[in-house]
Amino acid sequence: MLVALWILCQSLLGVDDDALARGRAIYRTGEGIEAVLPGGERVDARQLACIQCHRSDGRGGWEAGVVVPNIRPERLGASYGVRDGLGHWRPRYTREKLASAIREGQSSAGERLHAVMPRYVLGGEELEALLDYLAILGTGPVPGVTAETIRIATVLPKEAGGGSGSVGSVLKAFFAEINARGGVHGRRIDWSPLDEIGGTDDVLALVANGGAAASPDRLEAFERRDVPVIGPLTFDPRPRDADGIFYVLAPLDVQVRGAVAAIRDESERATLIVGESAECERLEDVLRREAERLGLTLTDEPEAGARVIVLGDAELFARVAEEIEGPRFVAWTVLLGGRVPDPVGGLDRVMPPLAEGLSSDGESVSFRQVADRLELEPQHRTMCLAAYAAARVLVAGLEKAGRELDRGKLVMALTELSRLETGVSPGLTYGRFDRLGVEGALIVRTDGTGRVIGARFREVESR
Amino acid sequence: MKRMEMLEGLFHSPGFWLALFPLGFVIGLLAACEDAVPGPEVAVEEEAAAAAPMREERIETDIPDVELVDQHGRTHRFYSDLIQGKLVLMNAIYTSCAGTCPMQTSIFSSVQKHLGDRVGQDVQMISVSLDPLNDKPSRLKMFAEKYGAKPGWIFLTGDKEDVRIALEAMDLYAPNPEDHTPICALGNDDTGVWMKLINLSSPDEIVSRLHYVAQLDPASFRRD
Repeated sequence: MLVALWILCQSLLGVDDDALARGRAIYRTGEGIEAVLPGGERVDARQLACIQCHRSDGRGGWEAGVVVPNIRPERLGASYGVRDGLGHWRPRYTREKLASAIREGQSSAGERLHAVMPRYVLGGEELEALLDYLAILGTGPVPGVTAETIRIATVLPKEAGGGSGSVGSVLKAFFAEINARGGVHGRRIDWSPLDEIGGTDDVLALVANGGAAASPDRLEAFERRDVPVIGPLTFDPRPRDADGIFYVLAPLDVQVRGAVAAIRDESERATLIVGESAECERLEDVLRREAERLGLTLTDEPEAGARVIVLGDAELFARVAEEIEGPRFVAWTVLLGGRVPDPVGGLDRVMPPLAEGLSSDGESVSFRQVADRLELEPQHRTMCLAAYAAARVLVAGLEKAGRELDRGKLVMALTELSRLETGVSPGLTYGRFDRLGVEGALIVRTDGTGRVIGARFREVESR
Repeated sequence: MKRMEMLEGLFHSPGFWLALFPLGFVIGLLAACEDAVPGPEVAVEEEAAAAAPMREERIETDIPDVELVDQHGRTHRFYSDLIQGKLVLMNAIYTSCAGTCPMQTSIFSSVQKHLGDRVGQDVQMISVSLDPLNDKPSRLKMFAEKYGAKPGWIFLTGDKEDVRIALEAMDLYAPNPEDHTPICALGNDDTGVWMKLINLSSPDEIVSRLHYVAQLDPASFRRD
C-alpha cells in the first residue's frame, strides 16, 4: 500500500524514472560532471562524488574535522530553516537555492560553503536530475524492514535445489538459530529463497545469491535497484568501489597470486603448465606478473625438486598428476572446468579461502552448529561455507547498523566491518572503496596418501 | 652525513619547520556546516582567514627512517628512500574518510599535474594512511588509482607504530583517523626547511609554496 502510494506521489510530481536514475548515478558516482577545486580548477567529479561525504543515505556525519551536513529533503526543506552545527541559522533550501549551493557553493543563507564542498559544473538536465534525486534521497518506505522483522532473501538456482538445496538449508538453519537467540536489535530475520530476481523490491538485502543471480549482469541490475547483495556465490567477483555488492570470495586472479606467493615462500623456481582456454591465458598473465614481482623464476620443463603449478581444468590436473612424479606441485583446478579430482597424494591445492577453523567463531552461531543438523552434499561444501560466511557478514552489518535501519545504513555499516571473524574465512574487511572481504588463497596440503594434513591461508598484500 | 646519523640513531639531523597558517585558522576548524551534528565548537570564516596575514614560525623536527609499505606492497625507508635529498609534499589521509580526504587527495592529484615530470624526479609526493590497520596496500592502490596517482606520488601504510612515528615527526598524526586535520607538509630536505599548509588551499597555492620552500635559505631564519 505504502509502495503504491509512493509510486503514485512520484508520478503526480512528474518525476520520471530515467531522471531519478541519472540523478542517483551523479550522486553516487559523479560520472559525467566536473567538480571545481579551490582556486577554480576543474576535475572529474568521480574523485569527489556526493556520496563520499554525504553518504548513501544523505545523513552526512562528522569526520576528519568536518561536519558534513545532512542533506536529506526533510532537513534541507525544513519550513523554518535549521541551525547548523555552529549555531548559525540558515533558511530553507528551495530548489533554486540548492542549485546555487551545488553550482556556486553558496548556502541558503547566502554564505560561502566551506572549501571541502566542491562546486560542480553540470548541465541543466543533469542538475535537474540531481535535484530530483535529492528531493527523494533517503525518503519513501524502507524496503524489507518492519517493527518486528527484517526481510532478507536469497536468489538460488532451481538446479541447485533452490531453497531446499544445501546452500538454502544452511541459510535457513543459520537464520533460524539467529532468531532463536533473539534476532537482531529485537527484529526477527525473515529469510526466504527466491528463484528469480523479481520480488526483490520488498527485501532489505540479498545474501549468498547463486547461479545466474550472482553473475555480473544480474548484480548490476540489483545495484540499479539499490538492493545490497552480500556474498554472491561467484568465483569471479568484480568489485567496484562504492556500490552495494560485498564479496566473501576472493577472485581467481587473487587466488592465483596467493598460489605464487605460497610457492615463493618455499622456492625460487617453479614449472608452469597451462591449459588452453582464454581464462587460462588471462590467469597465466596474472601469474607471470606476480612471479616476476616476487622473484619466482618460471620454467617450462619440470625440474627435480621444483614446484609445478598447473593452471587448468581437472583433466589437465589429472594428466599432470600421472606424468609427474617427485616434486610437490600446486594446482588450480576448481573453476576452469570439470569436477575437482579426489585428493592426490603429495599435492598442494589452491582453493578459495574458506574452511572451518580459519578464524574464531566468535559468539555467533557457528558453521558446525548449523551443519551438524543437516545432510550437506559434499560437492556443495565450499558454497555452503561461502553462504554461511555471507550470512555472518550480513548479520554483523545489521548489528552495526543499529535499530534504525535502511539499505543505505546497512551498506555503510558493512563498509565499516574490519577483520570480521566468521570461523570459516580469514578476517573479512571492507571499506569505502573496498568490496572484497579477503585477498589471498587457501593452500591445502596432502600427504602421500591424499589425506589432508594441513591448510593455510596465504594473504596477498597488493593488487 | 645525514645517512650516517640516521643509521646510528634512526633519525637524521634536525631540520626545522616553518609553519605557515593564516592567522585564525586552527587545525580542524572547519565547515560552514548545515546540521546540528555534534562537532568541533569552532568555526572558520573562510574569507577572513584567507585574507589574514601569514605567520611564520620555526619548529624543529627529526625525520625517522622507519619502514613503511607502499600501495604496490613495496617496502621503503621513510627518510632515506623517500625524503632524502628531495623536495617533498606530504599529507595524511585514509581511504574510508568521508570528510576532507577526498578533497585533499583531489587537490594533490591536481598538484601532481601542475608539477609534471618533476614528480618522481626531484619532487616526491607522499600520502600516508592514518588507518594502517584497514588501509592495506591493495586498498591504497585502488584509492591511488581513483585519483590518478602516477609514479612519484606514493601512498604508504605499514605497522601501526611505524606509521605513528612517521606521522608524528611530520606533525600530521591523529590517534583517531576521524580527528585528523587537512594539513599538508612541504619540505626541502637539502636545506631542512619544512612548511605546513592547509591542504584545502588551491593547487596553485601549494605549488607556489613548494617553490618558495625550495629556494628558501635557512640561514635567513634564526633559531628560537
